[in-house]
Amino acid sequence: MSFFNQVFKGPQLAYYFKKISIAVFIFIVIVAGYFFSQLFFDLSKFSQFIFDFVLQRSNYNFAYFTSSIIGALGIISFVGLVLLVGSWVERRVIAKFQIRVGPNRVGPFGLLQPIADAIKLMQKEVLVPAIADKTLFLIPPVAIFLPAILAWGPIPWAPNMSYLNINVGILYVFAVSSLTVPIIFFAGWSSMNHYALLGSMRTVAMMVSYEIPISLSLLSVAIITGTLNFSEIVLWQSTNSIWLGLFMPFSLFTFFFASTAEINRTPNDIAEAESEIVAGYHIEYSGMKAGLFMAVELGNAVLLGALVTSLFLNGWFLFGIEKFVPPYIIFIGKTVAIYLLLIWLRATFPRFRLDQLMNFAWKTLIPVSIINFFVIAIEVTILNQFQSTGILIYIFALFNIFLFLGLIVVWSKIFSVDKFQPEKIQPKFAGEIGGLEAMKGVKSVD
Amino acid sequence: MVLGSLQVPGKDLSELINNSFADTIQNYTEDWVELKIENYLQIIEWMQNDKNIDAAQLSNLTAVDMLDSFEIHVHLQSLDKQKLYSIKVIIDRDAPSIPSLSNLYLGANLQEREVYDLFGINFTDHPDLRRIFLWDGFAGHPLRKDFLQMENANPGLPRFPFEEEGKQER
Amino acid sequence: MTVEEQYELNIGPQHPSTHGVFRIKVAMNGETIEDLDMIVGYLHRSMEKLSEERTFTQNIPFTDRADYLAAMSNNLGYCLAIEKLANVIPPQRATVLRVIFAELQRIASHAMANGTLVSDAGAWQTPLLYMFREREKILDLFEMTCGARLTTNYMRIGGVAFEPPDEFYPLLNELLGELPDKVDEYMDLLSTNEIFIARTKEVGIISPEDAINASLSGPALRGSGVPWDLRKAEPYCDYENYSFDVPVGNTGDSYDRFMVRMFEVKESIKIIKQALNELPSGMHKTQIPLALRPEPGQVYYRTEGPRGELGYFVISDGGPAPYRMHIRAPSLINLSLLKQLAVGSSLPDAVVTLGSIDIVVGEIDR
Repeated sequence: MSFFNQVFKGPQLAYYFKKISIAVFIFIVIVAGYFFSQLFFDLSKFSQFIFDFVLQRSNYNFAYFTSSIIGALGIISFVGLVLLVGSWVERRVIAKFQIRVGPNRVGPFGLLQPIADAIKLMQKEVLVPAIADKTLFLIPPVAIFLPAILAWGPIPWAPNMSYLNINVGILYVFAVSSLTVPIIFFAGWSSMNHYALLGSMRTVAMMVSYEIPISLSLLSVAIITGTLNFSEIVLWQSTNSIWLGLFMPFSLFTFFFASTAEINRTPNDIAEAESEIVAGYHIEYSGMKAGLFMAVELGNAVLLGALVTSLFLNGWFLFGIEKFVPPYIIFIGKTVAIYLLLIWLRATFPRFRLDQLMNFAWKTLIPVSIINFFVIAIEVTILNQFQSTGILIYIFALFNIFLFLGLIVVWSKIFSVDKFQPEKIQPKFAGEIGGLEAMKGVKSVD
Repeated sequence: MVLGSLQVPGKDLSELINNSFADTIQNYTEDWVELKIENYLQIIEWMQNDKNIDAAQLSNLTAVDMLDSFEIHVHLQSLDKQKLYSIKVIIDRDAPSIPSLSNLYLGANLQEREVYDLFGINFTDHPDLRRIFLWDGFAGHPLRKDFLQMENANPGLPRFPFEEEGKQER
Repeated sequence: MTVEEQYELNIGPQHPSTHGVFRIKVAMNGETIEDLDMIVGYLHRSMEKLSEERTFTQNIPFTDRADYLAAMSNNLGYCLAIEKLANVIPPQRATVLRVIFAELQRIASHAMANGTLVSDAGAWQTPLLYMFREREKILDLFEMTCGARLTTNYMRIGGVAFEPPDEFYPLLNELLGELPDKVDEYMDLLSTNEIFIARTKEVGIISPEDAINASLSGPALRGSGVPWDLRKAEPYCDYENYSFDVPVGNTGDSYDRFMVRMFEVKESIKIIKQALNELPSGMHKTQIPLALRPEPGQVYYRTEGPRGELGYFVISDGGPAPYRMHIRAPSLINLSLLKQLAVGSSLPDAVVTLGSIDIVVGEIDR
């Protein structure tokens, strides 16, 4: 820094040129983006076109097969793109939080860093511990990709744009994501490492505990919308002009917090707590196998963003903007916002302890979720008496927000979560120097 | 030489000890008081419990190789009285052994292990007398002045150190 | 049916939260620690033996390497001990400069200690890097004064090695101006953070009786509420002329040790400001012979380092090299209670306790 200040006294022409060129670049991107968005506003047109095109030349089954393969490729390539760009975003954003620069060497703004990382990881030797169960050890890094990609199926990107538009969408996602538990347990168990065992045991304990609040919060969503289909849940929020996250903030909170425990993100990343059990269940994996675990974690974080968006944040709707911007762009934007929130949490918070997390799940989240569920059930019964929900739903939303705050206060009083007030804990200043006797003369700070 | 402001001069300390235990002081100078090894543990226990001396904390414990003998230097301090007491014991060099202070001071544990490791002085009644810095089976005790002349002495690491019991592989 | 089986877990020598090559062998039952054995010595460089072969001046760089996070304080302790042994009186300006640098080092060291403690509690290194921001500026000041950032080798027997350059003072004043705000920022961020409180409060409680009996010193002792600070009790470098307070903790848990360090940073800022005001002109060191030969005798000189009571026990036989030099290493002795604290607690608690005691492995092993 000082070197540049000495050579150039203040910003020079090149500096302004850079700024102006960036502004021009952004302008061009916006204009081009507008035209492209009009062209690709409804992607279902293209899939319909392909379907018809193949149908004319062969039978129905083949056409169905072809279009579903193309759709699957679309989702997989999106997930792959997320894994590449997401790791760059995460590192750059966390670097901003930590007053660093982050990766900026490989490619423009360091954008090619994930590719360089992947190449490096692939070149590395995959070590298999001598005493490990070889077969079981090699399966999990591959198998863990299954739930991570399958769960993207029923996500509603836009109207008419959902790969698996099934009636049991929520149930499907819930079931598929549970597959992670045995895979992680296999990884930890087969490594024959105590750290890995601790990590996998923690994971199992946490998943068992936190799936209950998750299911309770999803149940609230199901009873108010009357469906398990993701697209219909999004449409319900639109017809009733309210985001479910506003209507039942506690369900949103429960779902979000419990999901961070499920996907091992700070502040609940105890399954791979770096400062305690180093890397948890994937401590013995090296090279690309470790990379796959990390990639899946990142993918799961984005998946959580997509789920929260469709369940609680009204999916592809955004105050009428969806008429001008392609809906799937809005959907991805909301997903990225949730992902950035996760990064923010990761950059800010320390980690809970295992017993604290368990206490929180069983003593706070589950009972309060049950209360919340009953309140919502009563509200749904009342709402069903009327033809249109109208103003009543906003009144209930307001009530739920206050209930959310009130329950938190009441529960923290009951279980005395905050046993102490930080202002009472200020260190005192020594009056006189000495040992145990002088301790009596210590005066407290004013 | 000027003593530190907390340190009790050897003369005063020897008088204090003499009042309670006659004939236990071997020698004293301004810096230290030399105790007989038979009374060492007893006097230190008394100093810890005595209200006037109140040697509540063991500040430092170390040894010096004097070629014909070992010296154990113990620095005790009283936080309330703001005093530092310096005590010295001379022990035999051939079979060095001295009572352990670990039962009086928790802080003596690691320091005595260090002295045992580097000087080979045996602390009787120490709860956990093992080497601390060097691995088991290291030949000799490096802080002795004749370390290089000792039998089996071979400074440097011939191979990667192993922690198995017994002699070091060469 | 429950099967209880003890298993052994090696924490370290390479582990993110052992702060160096430090190994703890724990016997665990589930998540509970049932037995603990600490194994040190991976960084043993036999400084005490080496120093018997080198002159008194040549030994100064060894002290940098002992506690490599507080090189200035270690230099200072050693030089004061030898000055006392050889009856060298440093000039007044050197004494004040020493106070400035030792206190700057204390701030840098405490920033590191607290930053790593929060990282041990699970924060993803954000607080560590925030605290490094201030530490970096202090290390820059060291670099412009003596050319080194970590192993400074700045103090000399009879003064300090170099006069700080002219650019030093404006930068130091700027740093002192912004440091209190930064410390308040950290206090706001961390000391009221619910998760951090939940992780550190009532974890690793040391009673004052145990703390004294186990020879604890520094923030580990003061965190338990014992008001003991050698800068007040046995002032060196004219510390009696500066007005500052000694913060002590309440219950002796990890949170208190953390807070004591935070408050000590503020007190250090006060001391540096006073020292800068009183900085006299004159020489920054006296001439001493290159091969200093002190009179035969012994000295046990203690200073208050960032980690506690840093003592140098030196015996001279009249030769140019010490007959025996012993470093009373606070990091090692503060670990006396580790087993007692960790047994019965869970692994995360043990990690936080170890982090709050603040060890530097270079000083443990020497």
